[in-house]
Amino acid sequence: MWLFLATEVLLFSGLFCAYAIYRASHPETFRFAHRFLDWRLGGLNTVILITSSFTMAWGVREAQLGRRRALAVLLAITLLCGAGFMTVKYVEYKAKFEHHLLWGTKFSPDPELLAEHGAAAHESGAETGWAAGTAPEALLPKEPPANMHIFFGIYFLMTGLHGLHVLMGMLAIGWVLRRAVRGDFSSSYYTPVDLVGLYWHLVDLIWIFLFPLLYLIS
Amino acid sequence: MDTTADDALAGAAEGTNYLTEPRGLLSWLFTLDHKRIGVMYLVSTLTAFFIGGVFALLVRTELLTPGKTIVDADTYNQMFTLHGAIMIFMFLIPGIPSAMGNFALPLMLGAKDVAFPRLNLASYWVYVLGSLFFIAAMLMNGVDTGWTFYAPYSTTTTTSVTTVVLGAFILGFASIFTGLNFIVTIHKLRRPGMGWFQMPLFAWALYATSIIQILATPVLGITLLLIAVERVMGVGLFDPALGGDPVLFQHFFWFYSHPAVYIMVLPAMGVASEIVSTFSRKHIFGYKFIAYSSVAIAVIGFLVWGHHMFTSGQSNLASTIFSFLTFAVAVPSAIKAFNWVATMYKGAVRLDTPMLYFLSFLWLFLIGGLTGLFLATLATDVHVHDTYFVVAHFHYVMVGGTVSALLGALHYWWPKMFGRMYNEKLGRIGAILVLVGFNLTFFVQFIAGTKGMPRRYYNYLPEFQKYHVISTMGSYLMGVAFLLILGYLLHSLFRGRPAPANPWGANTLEWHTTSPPPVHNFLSPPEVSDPYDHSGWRYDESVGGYVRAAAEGVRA
Repeated sequence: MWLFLATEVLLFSGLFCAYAIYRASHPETFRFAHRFLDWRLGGLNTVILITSSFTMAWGVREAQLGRRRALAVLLAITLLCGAGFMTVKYVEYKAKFEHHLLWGTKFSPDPELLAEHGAAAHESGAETGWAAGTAPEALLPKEPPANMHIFFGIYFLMTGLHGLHVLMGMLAIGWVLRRAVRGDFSSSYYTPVDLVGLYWHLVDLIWIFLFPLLYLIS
Repeated sequence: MDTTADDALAGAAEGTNYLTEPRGLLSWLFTLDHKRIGVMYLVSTLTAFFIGGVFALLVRTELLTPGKTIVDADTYNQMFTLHGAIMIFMFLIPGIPSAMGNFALPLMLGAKDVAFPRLNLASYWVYVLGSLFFIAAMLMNGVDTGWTFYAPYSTTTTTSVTTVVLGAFILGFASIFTGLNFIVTIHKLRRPGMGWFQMPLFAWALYATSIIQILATPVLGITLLLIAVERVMGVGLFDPALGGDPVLFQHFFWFYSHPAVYIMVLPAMGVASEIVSTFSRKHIFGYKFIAYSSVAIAVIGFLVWGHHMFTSGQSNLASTIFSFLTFAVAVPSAIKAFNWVATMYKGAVRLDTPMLYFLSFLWLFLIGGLTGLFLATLATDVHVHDTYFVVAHFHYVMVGGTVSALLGALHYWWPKMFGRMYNEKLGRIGAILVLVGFNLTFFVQFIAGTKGMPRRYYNYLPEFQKYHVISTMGSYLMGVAFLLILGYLLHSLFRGRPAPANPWGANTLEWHTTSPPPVHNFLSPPEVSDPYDHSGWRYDESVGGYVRAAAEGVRA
């Protein structure tokens, strides 16, 4: 199982590499584009997932102690957290689609929206340590930089792949939950709970990396 | 208790073994028996080898003359692409580990089966599914990108690249499953008394291979997914027209695909270690060195991917480091070669078919490896990059190395797999024909390459024609040789002499049971002893194989 988790980490590593390379070569793009992501929603999702990891770990502990009822309840809470995460994700994606802030060839937002956004950011001078309106262009351009679609491409790929993994994790938790309700587990046999728990923690961990990388650039 | 001559004959007479029990097609398709899965993998990979071989012969035929010979340029591009993709993803990578390894590894460890039999079966069906994607792509628009799928061409061409990369992505899972299974099997299922350094070297080789399969394949997975996503949705990560970076694709791709060549050759080296000790009637020389060098090759193999990109515009510093690391791989490879030669030294060498394949393997792998050093040298590589020199180099390692070893393994374990002996004389003729045909085909390509014949070209200058003609003749000879081998092997299934339990006198545990083995591999728990100590076996005329010598010869 640990080996399987290693394969997952490597699967994501490719995307993290792509992120690092583009961030290094187009920092201004990232700085500009990330402002279209709402850190509040991202933060909410982070809280939700960390909570679910906690309930999952608690559930594994209850499984070790052979308390079936508590295990079922905690698994159900974990599952609900997963669903909550996906709901928030849906709200975010929907907004992006409405603004046409999409990837590659599909990237066609309203230029006015971009311009307003740039000017506002530049005026406020937020996140740069410069007083309002005095930050150098290179640091906080008024005009939208080229290649913004690359940022959104990476954003959608990373969050999309992660979202898929959340869904798969939810399926796995659902399966374990069903078996827990049936009373398959006892203090002597709880391996599936343990392994699904490990997987869920990995999914959580990847999000903990994604959140600052995508939402909290400054 | 070990098998005696009586046991061996009794088992064969009763006809109860893994091949006959349980009966019926469904019992094969849903079997959890590692031996049957190994046989199914063998049939499938050899089928892929046949398809890939047909494409190879078509490519060579087209190159007989400059300009058009039998097909037009676009079709030719499809042919060398499909030849490469099928041979690599469907034959070379799963060939030895999934077919031979699945069959032999649990037997060698004295286990009943692999650690996760269901995962093993899943691996096979995932392999079939991935192969279906390949075949679907062939029937749709084909692929013309070369097996490397380099962006941006692969993200813009109109051929069925998406289908093929999804197929390769799925095949990757089959590879990961096999690797997971072998690692856990080797850790958990060795017979009591068999420590890490009492394992057969084939198991060490498969262990190193599995590490690569598990750690490298996911990177290819994400790379191929990105290609597919880029084609379907137009993300633009690799397409410079959209601000992407095509060299990034090459880094991702070779991060898997260089380790992949070690997936192909490490198990081949493991087979070589088994064969050379058995047919020299001598203990393997430098056991620990061979074992550790397998792992060393696996580790260093992860750090050399940049040597495919010396001309792709990476920094000189990066190229120099990659060049140095590539040279470093030669050290463990040479350690193995010296140990094999030292094993033969003063041994009682018998030139049976598997040994002939081992000798071809050694010879061809040395040539392939040494020309690899030419290519690792920056100055020469810039000159011969993307010429036939490179084509010849990797065919010497992949075909000369992996295919020779696979054929060696096939002949070595054939009696154990099917309980029949093949025709020894035809076997030796086949081995020699393969060796001659192979060298005819590829040795001239070194010369053509250094003179500047570029790889993958449809058309060429007239002065290169003589090399192409020789090369094509050699490929026909190889084709004939493979058909001959197929012929006598199939013939042996029906008419072959029943095989004794131990036809070669080897001491690894798979020879301690009947040929073919019973469903659970061993009728009685085998005794673990030094796998390369052959002194406990003597030849018995009446059985036509080796039987246990009197007890004083046996050392536990």
